[in-house]
Amino acid sequence: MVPAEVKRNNRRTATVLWLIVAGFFFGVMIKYYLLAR
Amino acid sequence: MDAAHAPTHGHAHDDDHGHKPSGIMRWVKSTNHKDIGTMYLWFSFTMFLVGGVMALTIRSELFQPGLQIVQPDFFNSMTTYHGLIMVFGAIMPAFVGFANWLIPMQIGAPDMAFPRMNNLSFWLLPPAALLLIAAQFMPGGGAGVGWTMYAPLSTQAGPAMDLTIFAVHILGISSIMGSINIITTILNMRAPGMTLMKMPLFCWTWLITAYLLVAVMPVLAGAVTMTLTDRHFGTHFFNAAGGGDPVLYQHIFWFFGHPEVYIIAIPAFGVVSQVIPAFSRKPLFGYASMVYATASIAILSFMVWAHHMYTAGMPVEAQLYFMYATTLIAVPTGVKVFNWVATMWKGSMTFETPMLFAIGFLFLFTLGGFTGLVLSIVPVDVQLHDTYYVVAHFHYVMVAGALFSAFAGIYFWLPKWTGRMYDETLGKWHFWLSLVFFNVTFFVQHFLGLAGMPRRIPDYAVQFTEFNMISSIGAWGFGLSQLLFLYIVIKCIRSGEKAPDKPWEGADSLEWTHLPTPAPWHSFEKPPVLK
Repeated sequence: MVPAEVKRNNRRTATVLWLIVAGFFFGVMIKYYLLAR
Repeated sequence: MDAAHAPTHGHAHDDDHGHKPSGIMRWVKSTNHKDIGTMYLWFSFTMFLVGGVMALTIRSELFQPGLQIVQPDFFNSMTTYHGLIMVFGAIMPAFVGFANWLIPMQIGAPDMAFPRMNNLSFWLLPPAALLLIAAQFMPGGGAGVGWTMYAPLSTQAGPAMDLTIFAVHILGISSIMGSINIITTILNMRAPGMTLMKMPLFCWTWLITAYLLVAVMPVLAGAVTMTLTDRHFGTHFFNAAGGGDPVLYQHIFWFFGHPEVYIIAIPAFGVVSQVIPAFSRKPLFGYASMVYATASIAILSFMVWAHHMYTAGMPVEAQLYFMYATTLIAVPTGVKVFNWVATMWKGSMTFETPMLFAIGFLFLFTLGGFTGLVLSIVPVDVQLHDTYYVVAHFHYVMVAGALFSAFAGIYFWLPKWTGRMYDETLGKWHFWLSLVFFNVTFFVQHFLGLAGMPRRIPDYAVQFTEFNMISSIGAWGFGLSQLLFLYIVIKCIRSGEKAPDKPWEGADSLEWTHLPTPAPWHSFEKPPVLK
């Protein structure tokens, strides 16, 4: 493990970012699907 | 960046450790950020040529009024795929190539956070590009819907549209993976002592850009997925007959589309912010304000999307809001422009090719930004919407902005990448030819737009002939000038003079101060010592 300025888990950072991506992707479709009902 | 010139392992021994793979599999299976960066850059240039051929097809048809070379359907297909290929296949991958090459070296990290995902991010691009090209050969030809893929045209277009949607999905996934990689690398893998506010501005601009991408790429993916389900699965998101709304597509698209402009422009700002201080031999003026201005531009870019669709119909209050919000972007952009000028002020300036392209960027991007301000004014935009004024405006931003910045960056870092110097005389020729022909092509398009010539048409009224002829001649000159660039790069790689470790005396980021030239295949396996 290379020492770094901050100690943070890469996978945890990436997981949060993937959740944001999923939120926007499904959010936009679900929002307008529900609005159209 | 105030990193000390501390002795590190960089010069002392070769980091290659003798296990550099060779042959085609070096590239296919690469997890090395430098190799992947190289592949991104070559892919980008290839797509630049493909998109360029499409541009020349468009300009050749428009050389004279009437239909001479192509049929209208094919012309529409050319405008569509020229836009998609240049935005998603050429400019964006070019800056991702820069990010791959430079971010680990500039923050003192050994590689990107997720090297295998990095490999996948790149290798998704060629199939997507092939889909966009294959779409031309589908029954009915390419989808002539414009790069914006507006409904209802896109929901009714032929089978080429499905290939296009799939390509956009793949390109989006690639961009999202690249962005997650960049954010994680910058947030978590900086060398001890490399605080966020010590990072070179290029890293800052990419961190902000990557957040933009994570937020808006999924929205574009959602929009084209809804287009797909409208086409094949009986939904009516954008179909007024089924209770949907075609204008909804425009809102969703431009919620992606306006930040997309900054996704392209902000890394370009980052490159210029490295080049101008190096050739002015001064630190960047107002580093902190540059960071805050970049973040402000990114935040504002989420709030202005409907200025692309003033004429689609919206309440006057909404028009006023979007007009004021858009003009507000001029403030942080002005901060950046003035800071670049202040960096040069009383600097010990020299004008090698990277600096020439950076100064060209500064003048012409500012002009493109200014015409953007003109277009942000609602009553003016109602007149100019969908005219060649808009085409001129965004080509000043995209070509003279992003592309010139990419050229500045390529000439600046070529010695670091290849270990050889490019031909300075030919580089200057490339700059001046590009500058002159760019303006010949696009400056006259302002006049065409002001006179009322609509965009995306293969034929036009005869009074527009002269300016169109000038523009087409400029386009051919600009296109051919880029072959000179290809020659310069190949000549540099094959037979350029050996570059010194630090060919630019004003360059002060880690890749110049702590690593040999050319950069070793593995760098910073042990982090550099910074003060």
